[in-house]
Amino acid sequence: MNRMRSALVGAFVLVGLLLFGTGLFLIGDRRLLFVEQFEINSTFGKVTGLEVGTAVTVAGLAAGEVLEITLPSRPSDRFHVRMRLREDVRHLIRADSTAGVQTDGIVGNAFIQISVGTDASPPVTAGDTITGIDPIEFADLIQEGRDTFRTVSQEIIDLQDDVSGAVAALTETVETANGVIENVGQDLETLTATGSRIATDVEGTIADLRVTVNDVGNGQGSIGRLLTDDTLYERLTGIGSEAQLAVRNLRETTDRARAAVEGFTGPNGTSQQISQTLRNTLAEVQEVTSDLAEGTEALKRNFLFRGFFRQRGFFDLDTISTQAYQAGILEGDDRTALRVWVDAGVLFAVDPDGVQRLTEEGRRRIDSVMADLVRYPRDSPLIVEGYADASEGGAPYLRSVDRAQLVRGYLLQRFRRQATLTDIMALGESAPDSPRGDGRWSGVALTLFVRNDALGAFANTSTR
Amino acid sequence: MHLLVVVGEAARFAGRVIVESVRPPYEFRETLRQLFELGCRSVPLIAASGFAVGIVLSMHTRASLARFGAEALIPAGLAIALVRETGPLTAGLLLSGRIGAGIGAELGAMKVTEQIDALEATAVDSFRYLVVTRVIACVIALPLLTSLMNFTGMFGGYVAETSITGTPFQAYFRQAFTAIEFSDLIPATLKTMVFGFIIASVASYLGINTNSGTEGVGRASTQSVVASSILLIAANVLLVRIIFFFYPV
Repeated sequence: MNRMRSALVGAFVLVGLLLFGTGLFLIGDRRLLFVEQFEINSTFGKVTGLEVGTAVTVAGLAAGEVLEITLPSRPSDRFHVRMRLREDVRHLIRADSTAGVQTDGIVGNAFIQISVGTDASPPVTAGDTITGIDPIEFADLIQEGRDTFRTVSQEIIDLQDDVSGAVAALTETVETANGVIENVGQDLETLTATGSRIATDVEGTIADLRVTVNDVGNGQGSIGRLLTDDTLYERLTGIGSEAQLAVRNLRETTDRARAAVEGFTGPNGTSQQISQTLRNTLAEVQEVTSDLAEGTEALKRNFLFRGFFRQRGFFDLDTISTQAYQAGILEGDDRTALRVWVDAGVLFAVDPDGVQRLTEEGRRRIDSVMADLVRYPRDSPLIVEGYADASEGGAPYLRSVDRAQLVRGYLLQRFRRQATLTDIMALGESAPDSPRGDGRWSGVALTLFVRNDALGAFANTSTR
Repeated sequence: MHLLVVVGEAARFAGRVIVESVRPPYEFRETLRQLFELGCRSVPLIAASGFAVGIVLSMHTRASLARFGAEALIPAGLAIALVRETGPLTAGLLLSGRIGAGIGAELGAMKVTEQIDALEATAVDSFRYLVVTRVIACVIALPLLTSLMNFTGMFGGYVAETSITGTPFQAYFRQAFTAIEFSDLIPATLKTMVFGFIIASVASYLGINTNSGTEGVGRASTQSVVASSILLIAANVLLVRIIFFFYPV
């Protein structure tokens, strides 16, 4: 055997041993057999995938392996895992570091991941035990995901219900607000129009009053002679002041109402402010209207202005005598009385206890009469004249009052007439214009006082 | 009956090999010569085979692991397959063909040409000189050739992998050895010494007991390959079981 062959044999053996040794070295290097090491411990509730030799990493860096897994002494205890780590990573592992079992991908091996601790905590020493975090198993993740999905689904359903309820409530609130705004706007417009009309009327009244006063001041008519009476003068001055005050209050009220409308429609207006302003305004308007009504009523009853108001259709039947009424005081120069006579035998029946009541035939007769009268303006005053014949027994006046009241009540209920434009006049048995021709009548007469300009072809007198 | 006789004689032959291998005097020169003939001359076969096996294993491993998105495990999977089983068994089967056939034919030819009788006539212990040296050379050569096959196989896997992913050489081998333990490398490598003993012993037994002239030489060569391969595989099953007993997975 020559030297060449011996050299080749030597090379073969050395190369083979070198390759085998390289494998051993690589394995040993991975298992940290050739570096300085230290051991630490951790505990886990379960050690899924862990075994002796399982890799241990520190912040992702391969740093050691598991040396031993000790079973717990009782079910409530935890597995004790002893690990061997490279010495050069010890300064990264602090007392507050944690060890968790993780998996390298879905099908990868399990390994222990040790987190880097905080600077404030001291480095671990050999033999220390750090906190272990149990591994999360795939089945647990699926179960947790399923529970989470169910919870989220339920939350979404609840949220949907809440949103639906909120939207419904909001829609209802908006509709209510719209209704309130429309009503308030309509009322406000009506109020403003009424206020303006009243103001116009009052201004006209004051203008007329001013003309009258001027005439009186000029000594025209018999009233001029009364100017020397200081009492009357003072009363007149007071009435004028009250009227001016009422007009001023009305104007202020109108301005405030307009301001309220602007505030309501303005960008800075709020519903509460508007509502409060509107309430205040309405209260003031009521107060002013009350003052104005009182002033007007005072004017009506003042003998100086009584004729003025009567010319414009303002009457107080309580102050009018039957004689004046029958003399045509309500007609004046510009109104015509349309009177319909209705006999008591048709209208009324007497109960056994002596109380009168309106019969069905009487109601139909009144309906028939009103069918003709409703053609005229509804602001025409309607007077129900009551008549009773002395031959019927009892007090004719009281009986006439009862009859007029029964018919008036039926008219208010049946035809929705204004109570201020529908009144009664009990005339007893005196009926100078009675169709019977003897100056008497038993029943009622419906008398409508129509302005001449609204009067058409209609008989002044008729009987039903 | 004949089978039992053969098994008994083979067992006595193997026992004699073990005894004679540890008893002096030692035939170092002849052992080295056999190591050269059986080991060095097998390096090209083992290296080429290992390289090819590595490439094929890498491709199969990639096809399997890619389904699970675990391409990163290809180096480790290939290394485990080679080191634990594929490298030792493939090397053993390859060498049973080359070495077993060679030993059986060589010793059979020496037997039919009465060269063994001539050695005995010159006071040379033919058993120690011809058989023990070959068995020892095989026992030494098999682990070395297996290591060679493991690394050439990993290299073939690296070539196949880097042609696809461009993985660096150092990173590939570091990843390959992340899953290998001492219990994977050492027992699997050392069991090939048993393979070498089986191959050389069976081939030597069949060669020395050759008769019927040149026809018997050919029969001894063929029987050496077949018998050594079967015994090698059967022994592998037993050895793996023993390894798992001492190093459970």
